[in-house]
Amino acid sequence: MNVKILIATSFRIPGGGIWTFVRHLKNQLELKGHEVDIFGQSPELNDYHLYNKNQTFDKLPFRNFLIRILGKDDFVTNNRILNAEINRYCFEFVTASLNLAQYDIIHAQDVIAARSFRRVKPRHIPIVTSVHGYLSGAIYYSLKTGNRNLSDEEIYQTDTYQYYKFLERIGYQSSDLIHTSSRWMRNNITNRFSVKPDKIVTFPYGMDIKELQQYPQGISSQIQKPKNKKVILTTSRLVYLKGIHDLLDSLERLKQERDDWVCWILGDGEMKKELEEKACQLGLNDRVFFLGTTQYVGYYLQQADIFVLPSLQENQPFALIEAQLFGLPAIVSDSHGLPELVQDGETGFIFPAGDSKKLYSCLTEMLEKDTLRIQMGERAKKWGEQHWSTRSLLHDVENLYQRAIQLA
Amino acid sequence: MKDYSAEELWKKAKKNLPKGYQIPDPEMVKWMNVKKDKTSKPLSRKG
Repeated sequence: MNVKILIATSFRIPGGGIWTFVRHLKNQLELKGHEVDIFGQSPELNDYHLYNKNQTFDKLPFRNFLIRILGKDDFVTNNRILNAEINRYCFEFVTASLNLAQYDIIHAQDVIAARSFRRVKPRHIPIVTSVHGYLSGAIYYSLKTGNRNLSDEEIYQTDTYQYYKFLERIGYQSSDLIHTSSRWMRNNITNRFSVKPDKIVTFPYGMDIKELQQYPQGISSQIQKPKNKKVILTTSRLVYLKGIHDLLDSLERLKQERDDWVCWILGDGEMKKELEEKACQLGLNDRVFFLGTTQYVGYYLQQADIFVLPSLQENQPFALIEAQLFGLPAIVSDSHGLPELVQDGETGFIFPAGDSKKLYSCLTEMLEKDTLRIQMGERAKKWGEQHWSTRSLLHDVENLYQRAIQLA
Repeated sequence: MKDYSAEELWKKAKKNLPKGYQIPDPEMVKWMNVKKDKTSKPLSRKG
């Protein structure tokens, strides 16, 4: 049975891991004859858009109206909460005008969108939510970035943290079924938010790297792998929870021991300047290159020798999936969902999150042992091709939709 | 170019919002009331 699906997120699209998932899923669903619309914030954050229909909806005119209403409420104790609430209700005004009754399924890509749809959709349309990340955990690290002197307990007591934790809770409650890609996320939801396990379906993402293998010729003028050096690559937002500061500490040690490597850092974020300064202070300017964001990540993956992900919080990152499919061995932290993706000693190495000494040891071993590194990469590719099949993803998602329609 | 003006959007939104739709989200208001009961001191504006 073919269905019409609205895939929607409260975050920006295109861009980031959600977009990678949504793009692949849309392609697969349409090949099978389903109809798919994609909705989210535009990259400039001023509009919402129905991406595939090229329709935009201005959210700014609603702001003053909402500020007037929300200004009176006790829980709006700071601008971050105010903005989050404004965005939530803008999302609701706009999605309510989309004629939601035309869809058989709403597939939310985050808990905030799930909560909003619960408030505006016709009762009979089911909401399934793919949970790509741990929202209040990300908020914790975001608050930590701006308030390094605060203890964990003080951060947990902030209004902002508590607001998002509650929002996350009602987002799960608002979903008829929840999809997680990792067992860690599944356990996190059941343990921290008391969601019943039978409401959660766990299956891995799917990925097709054909499009990543194509890039324009001119891109090679940007940066090339130096002769006789190995490339250590990381692809990551430059924010605290991604642990790039730990990677730099380990590279400083590595620099003292050996000269056969460079490190390419792809990505952008609020810590970019701070990390660039740190790299400079550690004397890494001639070894570590901040290359910004790119749509041609395949060019860099093709040349890299080792992929590193030193995150402090991670679910099932597409950056690692892509690296595996390109045949790269990975050194990852033991943070949350990551150990489910890397077999320690087989397809890469796992080190304790935040431990830059251990990360340094892993890098040393991988740089020293060429055969081991190459074999690990081959095993990672084989494992990845079995694990990240887009055909399996389609099968699992169709089952999820079917179950949600039956429940409704 | 925008496809809809703010006025058009607002009219459409009001027409399409379900009966009983409220701002702010009543669940959020409920949560706030519970939070208030738990803490005797007023909320700080930190965070």
